Amino acid sequence: MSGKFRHDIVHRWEGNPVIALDDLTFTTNNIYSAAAVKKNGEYILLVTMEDLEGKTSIHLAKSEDGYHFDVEETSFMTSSTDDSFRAFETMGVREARITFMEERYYIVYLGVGHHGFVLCLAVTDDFRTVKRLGVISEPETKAGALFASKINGKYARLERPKAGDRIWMSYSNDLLTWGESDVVISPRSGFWDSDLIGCAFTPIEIEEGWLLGYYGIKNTSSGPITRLGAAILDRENPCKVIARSNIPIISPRKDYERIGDMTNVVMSSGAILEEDILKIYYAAADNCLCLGTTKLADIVKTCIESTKEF
Amino acid sequence: MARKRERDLLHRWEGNPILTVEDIPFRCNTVFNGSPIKINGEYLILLRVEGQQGYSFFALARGEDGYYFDVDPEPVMMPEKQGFFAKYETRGLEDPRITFLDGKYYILYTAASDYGSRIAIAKTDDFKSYERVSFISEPGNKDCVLFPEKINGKFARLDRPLGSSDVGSIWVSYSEDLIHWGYHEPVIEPRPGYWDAHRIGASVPPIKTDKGWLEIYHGFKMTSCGPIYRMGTVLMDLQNPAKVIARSGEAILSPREKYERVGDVNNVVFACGAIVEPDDHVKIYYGGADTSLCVATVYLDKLIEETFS
Amino acid sequence: MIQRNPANPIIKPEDTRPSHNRYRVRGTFNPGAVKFGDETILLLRVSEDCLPREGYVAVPYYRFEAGKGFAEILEVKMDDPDVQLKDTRGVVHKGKDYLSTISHIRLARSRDGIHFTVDDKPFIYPCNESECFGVEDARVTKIDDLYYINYTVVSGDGFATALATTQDFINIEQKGIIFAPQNKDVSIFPEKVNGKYCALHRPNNEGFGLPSIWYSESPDLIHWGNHKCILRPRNMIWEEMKIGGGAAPIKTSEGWLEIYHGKGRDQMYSLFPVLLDLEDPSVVLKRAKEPILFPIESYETEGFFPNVVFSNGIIHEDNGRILIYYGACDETVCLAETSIDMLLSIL
Repeated sequence: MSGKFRHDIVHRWEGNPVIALDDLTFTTNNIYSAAAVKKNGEYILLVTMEDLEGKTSIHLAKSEDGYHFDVEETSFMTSSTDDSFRAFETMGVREARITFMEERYYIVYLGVGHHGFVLCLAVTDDFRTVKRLGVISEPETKAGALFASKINGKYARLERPKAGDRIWMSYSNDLLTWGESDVVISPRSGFWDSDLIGCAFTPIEIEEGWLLGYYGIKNTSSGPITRLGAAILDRENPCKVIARSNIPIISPRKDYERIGDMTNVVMSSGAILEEDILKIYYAAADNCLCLGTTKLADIVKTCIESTKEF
Repeated sequence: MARKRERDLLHRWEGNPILTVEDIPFRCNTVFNGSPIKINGEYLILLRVEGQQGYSFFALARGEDGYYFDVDPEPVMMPEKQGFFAKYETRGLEDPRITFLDGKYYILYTAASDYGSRIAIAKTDDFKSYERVSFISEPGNKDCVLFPEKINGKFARLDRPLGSSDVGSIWVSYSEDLIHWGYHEPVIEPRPGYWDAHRIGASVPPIKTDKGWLEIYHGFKMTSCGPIYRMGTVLMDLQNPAKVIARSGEAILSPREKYERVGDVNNVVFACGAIVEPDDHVKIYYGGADTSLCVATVYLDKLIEETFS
Repeated sequence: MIQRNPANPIIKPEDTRPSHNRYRVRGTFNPGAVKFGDETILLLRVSEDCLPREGYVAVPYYRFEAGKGFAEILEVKMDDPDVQLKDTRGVVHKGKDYLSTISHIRLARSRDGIHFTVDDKPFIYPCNESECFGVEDARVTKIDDLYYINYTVVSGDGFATALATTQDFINIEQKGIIFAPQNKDVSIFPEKVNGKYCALHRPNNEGFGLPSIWYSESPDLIHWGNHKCILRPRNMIWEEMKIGGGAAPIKTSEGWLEIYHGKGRDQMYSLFPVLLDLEDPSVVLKRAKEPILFPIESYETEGFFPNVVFSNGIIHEDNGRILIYYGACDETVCLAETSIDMLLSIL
């Protein structure tokens, strides 16, 4: 009987973790989630790391095959010394999400500073130099991701204001000023995502609309459990949810997902779609970076049909 | 040289855990707290399975020796979708406890909903069909076990109403018909400074011994990382269970193995039933870290001895 | 320095008709204020609850249909198993939250600025789920010939700020949420600065400090960015808990004059003036060390929510006279008078 059934939709790579602390050529305290993109056949990750002081920065990792990565010791982005950004990044930068749009790579990341968390926007063409464009959210906003194309003529993004712990979206004409905010999806009482949700990897445009990967939290007496789930949003109006999975696509089960600075966490901020296979890079237990794969069709099917599951 | 006393009175089976999610033949999140019963030499365990959506329900495992089990291909009790019970089961069915009484198997379970947790009772003759009988508490009560025989002509139960500041004690109450309950009295309370300082609740349906009713209960102490759930014992008077004869000072089982420490809820051992074999060897079935089902054994006289120490 | 009007409070709940025959008006307060033709118009926050009935719990709520809100009452027996009483602020029925008091915006009109007649019909009424717990604290800014009204919308998501426009104070055009939750106390500047619209706002920043006043810019009044934290609560009893902006800033020769509120010890509210740079309003020039108004009079210290003076409506006249309309105790409207010169001199 054993092993006959897949309890998680996402298949874990047997070589996990993809990046562990011991794989690094330098010393750091922790590895968090990573943005992911494929550029000219090369896999690029922007990995958040927490140094021994407790500050976070974003490091670049590259790979030929998507499984074996070289991580650069010099950070790709760290606390800014520029006057416009300094106060917002005193404790670091983290949780990048990449969107390839209009032939440029936009990076939405989290600034951690005097005012708590804010979303910031930067852009790069070559992943060697990066230009900060602006602070783009009110404080206490996290999990920001740009849609890869304009929606009804406007730029669009997902975000998670602290109030309500749910996913919102906003629109912009210039990428710097944002408004027309509205709720996309909310936690569901009694479900695995009952207490908090936020956008995981950058939304992916698929045949049915936008594929939203999100993380959901349920609180237990010994702390939260963070899992990944999925939904499909309407192409023209992402606030309209076409289908939403009743079950997670992956839950913490392996030791590397259960044991770390934060126990019981799988959390992603980067995925790459290759033909019909989705590679999801996810952080496990705030301790290492892992890879899970699944057929896109399986996730779509789960979103549409999981109401029959328990 | 005399063997050093082990830290835990109970002996963990070397093959633990006996069931994990990998053993469940349908998609689900976890399997943990289960209540066992032995019928004509066959061991059955009514399992709490948490589905992927996040609510729990019951499945049935069968085995020949009490250690190796196969799980039936479909769940056996799901939350009611309509009818009287549905409203209070929207968040699932939890922690079943089986008691054999007057020729029937009664299942006491916790019904979870937005209203909170309340105790329900169901019955079965054959573990093929199950019939819900009634809710027997208001919200804010769980961990209910039914005594396996009447006391002074009345059905008796232990339960755990939640008092102020989330402190919970074990109470006893009585009924003529299993539906209407009264004469509530507290039995034991949490003990400040002990392993069971914060909250306690009945775990295993009471076992009749010549020293009194033996109850294996759970208790926890709060830490900054969350609670640590352990097991202890208490002996109650045969005629008047509110009268405590003895209570173990130490826990008889504490989370130590990885399957008890690491899971969806860390540091939990939580029993919902035990089988007393003819030779007085007791198999206690317990959930580990809300992620596995395990078994630990001990002789009955050792348990009683420990309760007095 | 500042004179309270002897007629205070100038508008009381009993002057106002409820929006449903079984509702009861509990407060008419926190008005936005604007001069329109020869009238002074106040945009009152009208809070309502339900008339009590023995043995029952009755709470107001809004039903939404085709983009409009309708006043409804949830009335259930006190011992209904589906009801959980939370505290005096609300109940949970079948898992859904209800508040015992909810607000909408109503107009009051006057020719002398003191004696007001309150409209019988609501002006801004909750119209969708993001406003299901009411709309509150309207602020008016006139830019060119259009009146921009921002107000707080309250729902299960917390509080956010929405924008609407009007030309005639009869018809209104909703523009949606401009500051996502938690955000309120938005004051929009009456003209562009360096080609951009500007606003003060108050996110509930809790990161490493207390909720503070932020500055933000917009190309179109709809999309906002370049957020900066410009005023933080000071280490004084008046600002112990938080601060927030008031009415639209007033342009003076020395800078933008804003009157903000502080929430201090024992939840007492008070009002302070602050002066912002004309060219770059994110630069604070001067800030008063003492409040210009704090609860003293009995109508400010005793009421629905005691010890509150809160202003989001100011009218300034060409001669420098400043009329501060303010809510007292979340219950009534009061008026105090001062002048630009006076405020500049104490700064």
